Amino acid sequence: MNPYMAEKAIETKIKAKKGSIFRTGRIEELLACESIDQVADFLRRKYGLARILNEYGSGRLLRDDIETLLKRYSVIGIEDILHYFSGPYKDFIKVFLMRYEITDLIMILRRIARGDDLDGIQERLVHSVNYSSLDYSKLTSSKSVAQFIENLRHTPYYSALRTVNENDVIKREFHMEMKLLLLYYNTLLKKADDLEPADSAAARAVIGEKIDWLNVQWIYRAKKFYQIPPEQILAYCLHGGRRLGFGRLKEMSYAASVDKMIQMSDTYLRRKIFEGDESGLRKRIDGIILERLGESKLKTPVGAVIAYIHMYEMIVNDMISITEGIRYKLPKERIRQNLVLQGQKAEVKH
Amino acid sequence: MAIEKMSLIKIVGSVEDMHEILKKLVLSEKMHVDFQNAGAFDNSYIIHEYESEMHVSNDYSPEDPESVEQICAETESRIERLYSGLGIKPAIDKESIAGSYGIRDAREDLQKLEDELGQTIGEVSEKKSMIAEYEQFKEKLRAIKYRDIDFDSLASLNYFDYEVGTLSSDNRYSLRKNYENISAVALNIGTVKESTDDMYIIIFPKKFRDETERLLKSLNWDRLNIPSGLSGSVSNMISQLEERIAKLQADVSELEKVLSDKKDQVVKVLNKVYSALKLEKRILRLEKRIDYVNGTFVVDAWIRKKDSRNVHEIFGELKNKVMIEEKDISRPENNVMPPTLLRNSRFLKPFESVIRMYGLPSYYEIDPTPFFAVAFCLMFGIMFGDIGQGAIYLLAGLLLYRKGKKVTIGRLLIRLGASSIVFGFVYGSLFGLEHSELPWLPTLIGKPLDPRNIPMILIAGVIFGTVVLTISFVLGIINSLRKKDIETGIFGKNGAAGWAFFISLELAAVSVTGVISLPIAVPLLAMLISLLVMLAKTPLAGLVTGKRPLIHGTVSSYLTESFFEGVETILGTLSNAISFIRVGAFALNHAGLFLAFLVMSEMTENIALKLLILVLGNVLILTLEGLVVFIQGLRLEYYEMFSKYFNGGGTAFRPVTINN
Repeated sequence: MNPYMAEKAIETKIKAKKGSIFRTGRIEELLACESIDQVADFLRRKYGLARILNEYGSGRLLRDDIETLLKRYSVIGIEDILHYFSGPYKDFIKVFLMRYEITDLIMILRRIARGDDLDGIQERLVHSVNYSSLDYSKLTSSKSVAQFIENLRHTPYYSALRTVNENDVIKREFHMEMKLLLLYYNTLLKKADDLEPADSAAARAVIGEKIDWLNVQWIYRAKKFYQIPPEQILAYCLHGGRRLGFGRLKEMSYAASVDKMIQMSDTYLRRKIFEGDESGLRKRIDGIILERLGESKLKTPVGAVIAYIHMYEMIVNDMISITEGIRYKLPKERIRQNLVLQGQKAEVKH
Repeated sequence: MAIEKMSLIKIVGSVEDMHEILKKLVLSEKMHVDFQNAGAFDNSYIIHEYESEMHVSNDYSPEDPESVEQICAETESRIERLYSGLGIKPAIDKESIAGSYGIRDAREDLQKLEDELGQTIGEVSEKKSMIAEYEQFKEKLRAIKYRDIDFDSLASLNYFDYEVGTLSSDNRYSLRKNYENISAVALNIGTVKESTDDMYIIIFPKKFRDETERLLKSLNWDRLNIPSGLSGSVSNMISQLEERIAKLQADVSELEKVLSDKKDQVVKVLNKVYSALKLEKRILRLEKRIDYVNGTFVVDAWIRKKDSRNVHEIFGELKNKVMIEEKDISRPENNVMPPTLLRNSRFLKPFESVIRMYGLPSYYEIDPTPFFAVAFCLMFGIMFGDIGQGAIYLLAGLLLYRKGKKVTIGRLLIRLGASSIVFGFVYGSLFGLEHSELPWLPTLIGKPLDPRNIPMILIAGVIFGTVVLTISFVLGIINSLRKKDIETGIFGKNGAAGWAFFISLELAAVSVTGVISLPIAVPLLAMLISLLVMLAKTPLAGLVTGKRPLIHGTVSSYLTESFFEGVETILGTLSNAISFIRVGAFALNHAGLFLAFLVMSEMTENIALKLLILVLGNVLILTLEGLVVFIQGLRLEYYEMFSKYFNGGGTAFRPVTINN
């Protein structure tokens, strides 16, 4: 028995969540909404979002409000699970909250670099209030990118962002995004090393899978849209992938053309994700990750929790896509096409 | 030994004079401003009265609080710079700002101080930051293994440029593995101390500068910027830096000496400026919360009744600008609860903190401190009676008190230690040794474990419990009647009916054991009647007060609820009666625990070992048992007694001050 986790409690918690957020019918009900007001009302009633919604008062919720609160809902999902862990296990799960800190940091940095007004930005932040140690009031009072980065000194983000300047944020956005992702995945892998061998292997398998797909997407976009020199593409790649080691990443970065790179990706990852339209790329990758989450080697308690966190994130992304679709009055079938969990049985396979 | 009597004052004035009036309010440090109950009293009459008597200008527009806040923030950072430059801590000097001295005067004074010292302080901080920067750079240079690298020669190359900097381990890996594709030479020249970063020198053709810079950026390259004027090899640079640092340090010492000479002269002015700033900030915070109508504002504030004259005098200087109305709230009115300020003697004061751990009494409650203190000291003494151990507590308390550290705990220990000593004489116990070991020791009743004393001590515990619980019931009844709550005070389980049930239960037990000849039927009948009264408390209270309906909700739900409440009352009363046996039981336990050590010491002939065992026994008793007895006493107070008469929920009286 692992002293750092309450296995039975976690199992029960995940089962209980299956009954609420992961229920397939819920997505259908959400899809049936005709307006943003109906979406807000549905979320209020069905997803127990009242505690987050209270912050918005009784006024109308806009599309951005819903996106913010759904992301906070994801954060709460992780926080709820954290109660059942201690020691290195808790440290590991806590890293998943970094994603939301990174989301906030990127948003603040963009606004500062563009000289936008930061009024009301606090309402858009999604990080975990209970576990974040960043001083957001200080960060949001920064007048320049340099001051913002200086305000991050003595935090893990400083080393990742220390070379970023105004120009990078506006014209080379990928630089800060990739550096922050690198920090996030490196931290995850480092913390995974402190887990029991079976748990560590399960964690590394999922994280490695994610890294592979992120690298493929990065190389594809860098070659196709940004025309970045190969040595720089390679420098931004994330380490710790499952099937794409440094050698394969190097081959793909230096591939003579985008088509050649796609061929390599199809061969190395044994999946053709570039078939179909560009906008469906994220959906196809998430679909593959969803499949992997059900693999037998992930059937450890930590594997179940990682699967749960990813599922939670995917379903929240689907909910945001639906809200977006309803906002722009897209046909239901069109919205449905963008959903990762569409056609999948929406439950964690544990 | 009570709760301080309070008065509510309403301060009415024109918004134009608000700042001046609030300044008096803050500096007096006697008024607890109440924003929560502001709507509980109708202020329109007093506003009309004020408007009819005083001239109110509607044209006045107050200063924008945000701009004042900004001015304060800017002033504060300037003041902090001066304080830190002079190496002194900020202090409030209330007297110096009592007159018309305000934030504008303070800023003028601050400017003068800055004119006099600012340049020197600026120089000091600039030189200190340069020293830090040079030290940091020197550390990095020291990390370079090849001390003979000549940066001047590298800089003079015609076709090549160079950069020196650090790379993290991840990025080092990417660079090494892709070395053949990079149009630059990267040479590892050392490792930075206390980090995983390595130092590199990168040499590249000048025409590839942009490309190389972008690549280095993607690798999070941290460039080493060589301070201007440094030249030559690494070793040369280190010695040049050391010279620069030494010179800067000498300059700093000289400048600090100049500042130190002026310190005494400027500290008074600086404190005055600081006090004015703090006052301004305080007033600003109050102003932001005060509502005003048609240029007139009203502030509700609580003052101690005995300060009333003094407060009127304070505002007397502004008699043409302010109107003060005092309201006596001696009885609960409009749900307004005055704040609580406990007023107790020196003996009782430390017990207030133990009561606060449970809650602060509300204004209309009886102050529980005197009763708590006496009962707690008695319980502790009875359970932990020993002359020597009590003396240790007393001395430890005195030590903490004298040292000024954890003063409240020290003062508590003095009182509990004294009580322990008194009961030590009752039992005749000195560090656990009793009359049988020390025949010269005076004793009143003899050792607790004497077979003749055991029943007496246990019964004494119960009698003690009956007395303190009876007092608790009485206090509870008075508290309820003060609130005009007859249902709880007369018919409730903590009221007169509850007390009758409790006493009848004890009499029944006494009757059964035959201690007094009382027919058992009498207490049983009294128990039944008092229980029925408690069950019917709501309708009975309704009948007395004339409130209708007699029962809220359905009769069946009331009866069900009453039934369970009745069961709970019976169990609670039984537990109350038995609980205090522990007072006697712990007195026996205290003696018994030491007896175990005494027996162990008698098993050896070695005097040193004997002494060691006895000392160890005393240490264990003083630490572990002392703590257990304290907790047990607290449990009896909090659970058995406070539940009868103490609700808490009071708000502390906190007069507005510059800092608070």
